[in-house]
Amino acid sequence: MDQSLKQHPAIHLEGLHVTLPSRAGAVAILRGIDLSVPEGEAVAVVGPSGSGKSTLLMVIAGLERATKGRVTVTGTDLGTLDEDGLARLRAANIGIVFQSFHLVPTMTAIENVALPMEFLNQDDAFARARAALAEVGLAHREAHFPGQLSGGEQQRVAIARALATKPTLILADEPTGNLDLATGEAVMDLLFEMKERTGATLLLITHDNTLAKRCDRTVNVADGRIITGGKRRVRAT
Amino acid sequence: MTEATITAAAPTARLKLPLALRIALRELRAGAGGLAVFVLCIALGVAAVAAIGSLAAAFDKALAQQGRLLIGGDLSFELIHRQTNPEETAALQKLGDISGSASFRAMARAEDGKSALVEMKAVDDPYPLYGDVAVLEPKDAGAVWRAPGVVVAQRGLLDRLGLKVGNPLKIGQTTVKIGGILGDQPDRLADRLSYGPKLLMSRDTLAETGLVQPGSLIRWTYRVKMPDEIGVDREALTAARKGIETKFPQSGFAIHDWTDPAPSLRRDAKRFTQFINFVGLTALLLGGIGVGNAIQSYMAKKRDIIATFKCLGASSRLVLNVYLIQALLLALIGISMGLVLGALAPAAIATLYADALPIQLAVEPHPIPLLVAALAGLLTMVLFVLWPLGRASRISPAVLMRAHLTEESERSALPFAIGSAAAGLALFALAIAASDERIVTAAISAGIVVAFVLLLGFGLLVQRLAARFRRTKPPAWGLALASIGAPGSLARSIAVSLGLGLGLLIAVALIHTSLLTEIESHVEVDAPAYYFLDVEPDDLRTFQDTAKAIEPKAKLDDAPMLRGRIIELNGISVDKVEVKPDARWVLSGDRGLTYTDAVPGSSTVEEGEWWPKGYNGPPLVSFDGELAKGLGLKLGDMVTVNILGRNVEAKIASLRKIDWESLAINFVMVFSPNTLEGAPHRLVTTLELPKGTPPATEAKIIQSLAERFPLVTAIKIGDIIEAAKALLAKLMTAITATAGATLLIGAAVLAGAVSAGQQQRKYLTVLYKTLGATRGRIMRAELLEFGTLGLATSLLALLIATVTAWALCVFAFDIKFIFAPWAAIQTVALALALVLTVGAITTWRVLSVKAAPYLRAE
Repeated sequence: MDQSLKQHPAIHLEGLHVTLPSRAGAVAILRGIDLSVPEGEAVAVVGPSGSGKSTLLMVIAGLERATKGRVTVTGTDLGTLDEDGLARLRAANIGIVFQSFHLVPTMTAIENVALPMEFLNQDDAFARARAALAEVGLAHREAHFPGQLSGGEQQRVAIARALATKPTLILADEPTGNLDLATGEAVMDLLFEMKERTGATLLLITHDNTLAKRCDRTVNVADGRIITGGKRRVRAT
Repeated sequence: MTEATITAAAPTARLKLPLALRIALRELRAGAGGLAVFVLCIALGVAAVAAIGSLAAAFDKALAQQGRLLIGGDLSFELIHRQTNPEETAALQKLGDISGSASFRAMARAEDGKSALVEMKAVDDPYPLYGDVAVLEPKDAGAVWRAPGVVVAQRGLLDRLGLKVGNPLKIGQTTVKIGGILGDQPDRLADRLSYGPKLLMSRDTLAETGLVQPGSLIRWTYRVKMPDEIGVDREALTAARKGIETKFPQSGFAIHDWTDPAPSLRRDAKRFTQFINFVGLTALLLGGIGVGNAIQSYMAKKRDIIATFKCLGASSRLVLNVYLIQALLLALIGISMGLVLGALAPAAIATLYADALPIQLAVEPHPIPLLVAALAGLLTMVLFVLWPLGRASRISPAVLMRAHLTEESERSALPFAIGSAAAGLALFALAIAASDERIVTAAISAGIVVAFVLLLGFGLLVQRLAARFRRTKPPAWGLALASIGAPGSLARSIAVSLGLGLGLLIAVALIHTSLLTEIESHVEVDAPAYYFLDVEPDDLRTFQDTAKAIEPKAKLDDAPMLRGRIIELNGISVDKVEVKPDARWVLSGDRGLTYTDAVPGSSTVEEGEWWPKGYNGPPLVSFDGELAKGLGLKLGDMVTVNILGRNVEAKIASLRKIDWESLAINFVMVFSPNTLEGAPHRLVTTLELPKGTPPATEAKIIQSLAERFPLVTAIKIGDIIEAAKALLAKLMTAITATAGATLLIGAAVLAGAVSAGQQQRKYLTVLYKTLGATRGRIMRAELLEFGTLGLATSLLALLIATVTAWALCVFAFDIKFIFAPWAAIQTVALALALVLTVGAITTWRVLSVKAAPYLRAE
């Protein structure tokens, strides 16, 4: 039996429903998701546009509330936390990499990376940010603003920022969607390498089957439901 | 990880503030794009409040500091018509050093026959007790006026008569030498509104002129310099005043002391400040709206950053602190700029209006009004900033990925609304606390809020109407109306930002025109016209004949004239009588009095009966009906007037309605002849020349009257009118300038609002272009939009201003309201020019954008 199953799963979703208001009326985005991801696993979530992939990530990140069902992340039931509690959970445990990077344009690369650690009042925020930038090969660009960096460099800064706090869970939403093929590959190599090095759990939203194949498991979502991959498969080693 | 470990990792609130400050500064380092309007609006609003407060404080302080200089002593005792008797002189001398002077109007004549009215002051040797008399020319002339037969005069007199220092000048029955040019002198506040240049001479020289005759209109002032230790003791001053009043109850002394040298001036200044404060408050609130708009559009740009902060673990409180600190820092910059501008106001006014000001302003920083202005700026900032910041701080981090699908997911920001409301109430309380007339300030503040709400409602109405008629043709109109009717329309911004300032400007222009028309309409009827003072009753016939010999159609009228001071109303001292503010002037100085057995022209008896010819009963008086009401007097009431050192008590027999604007001889109080006939007095005479009388004839009449009657003083009514018009113009300039400042802030607010919607406007333009709209069509639509909004707001402002000006003219100033289309058109044109300029700049910017980036981004 896999050792990880003995521990808390990194992500545990039970009967998850999300319905959002829109100008056209309420829209059911997720309709009963059950998913469990053990610590250290890499899971790819694939599916067509509008299938609910991004919502799934947001619910796991505590950016969106479940309408029904239970969401447990690193052993904490998100339903019990208020907004600031969720913010602290993210700061301490979760690193998020966005398709559009979402770097703070008014801050330099190192300030962007240091930000989550500053939110945790860590005195060595900048020293650790410097080390994180060095790990993604951008030590020489630390004083540059996002506008002065290429797309690939910006995403590397975003990865450094997501991983600098040594999160146990990495959430990545189409991290190569705004990058060209070669840059995208380099960024993904970096992301997987970092994941391996830290032993973090990775949930990767992607359209790219090649990328999905690099993960331990692929969850296929359509119309707000998991079609395949909901159950964990044990990989042959 | 458990809940417990999360809580342990939670940062403590104590440590959050420095972090918030760090992040706030880091963010500001990249520039506070769009917040220039924020700083500008706060700066202008605070500057307006600080300037007005500083000016009022500078004025008050000047009155307090220069009290001794302004009245020329620690105490001053003033008499009209007569000098002190030996007992009174002895009593005054017991108080300290004493100096007596005579002030009056007289004619100064050059040898070539030209004459001019002068404000004369004759002084004794101890003069001045405080301060110095400046003789500008020749240098080091010293106290030349003390020499017999020598005078010093203001340059205006020499210019008017074409004279130089050293030339002879005829005054009364003597010829004097001009010994120098008179500069500043102390006790200038003690002098009345002046109609001519000032002239200073010694009392010995005055005696030579023969102008001092029984009944001459001369004001005798005795200034006392008390021993230093007593002069500073307010109780001793009051005791000295009381002592003289008790000892000489019939003297008719008007007494002033240095602690309150000019009560009526102080009261007038306070009323003026009250009005100007209204403009200041408006400016501040208008600035606040600009601040609110600016912060909203700034926070809109920060949505993604805030969401990113939250994704990375920042709490709502931290986000609020970060942006509150930024707002505070920018507000501090704005407030500092405003305070500097405001603090400089007294210096600027003192430099620009040195000649027009009755006293020298205390040019120095005045901490209290500056503190009030800073606090008001801060509260205004919180009032308008807390709500948008609070909402922004609660942005859900989900907007990073779902901006298009979800509705705004910000939760209720009720606590911030309560905070804003508390700041508003605190501002209201501050305005009231800082004001002397609290009820008026409360009413004004409420009025301003109502005006803002009205304008906002009007903007909304325009927006709704435009939405309803958006399918109008031609298409440029359709586009313009669609833009006005759409969410995010500029209708409300333009109405609120420009409506108030514009309304103020129009109202001021209309009131100014009405006042000027009122003044001028009465002068033109039979101009030119003169008043002659101090005509000897025995000379009257010769006087009239002299004028008629040159112009037979000249019309002359005359009336006996004395001056006296009201002492008591119904046996109660005027100091203790409660009267309406607009009637107080009657009690504050001496008034012209007359007697006649017929109802004077230009007046009608409203109540009571006129006394019969040859009436010989107890003294009777006829009073101006309007003023009697203000003083709380009615038929049968008793009025005590001090005339020539004697108290005369008369019963009110009738109340008259007087047409003061006719400028015919008229008096507030007309006595039955038996009351005053026995007192030494002279006549006041009016001369009206037919319209079209050549200036040469007019000059000839005045010259021959001046030569033949050297003791008579001629005052040209036109000169009085000019002096009144000049004073009015200065007041109106001050009010227009402050109203203009409000419009300037409005323009800044408008610019901020336009700039906030610029991105959306560019996107729409790109879409229109993509769909085939030509640049010309888009430009027409843009200008039509701005022009329509500017015109609608102008018309509303015109309507409100006209109603306000009408109400003020009819009910407050009691004059006929004249609608001045030209003044209204000018102001409306100014507003349209302003709005269209903003529109043209906006249009130029939106037309020059490239389509591709916008379409790609969307």
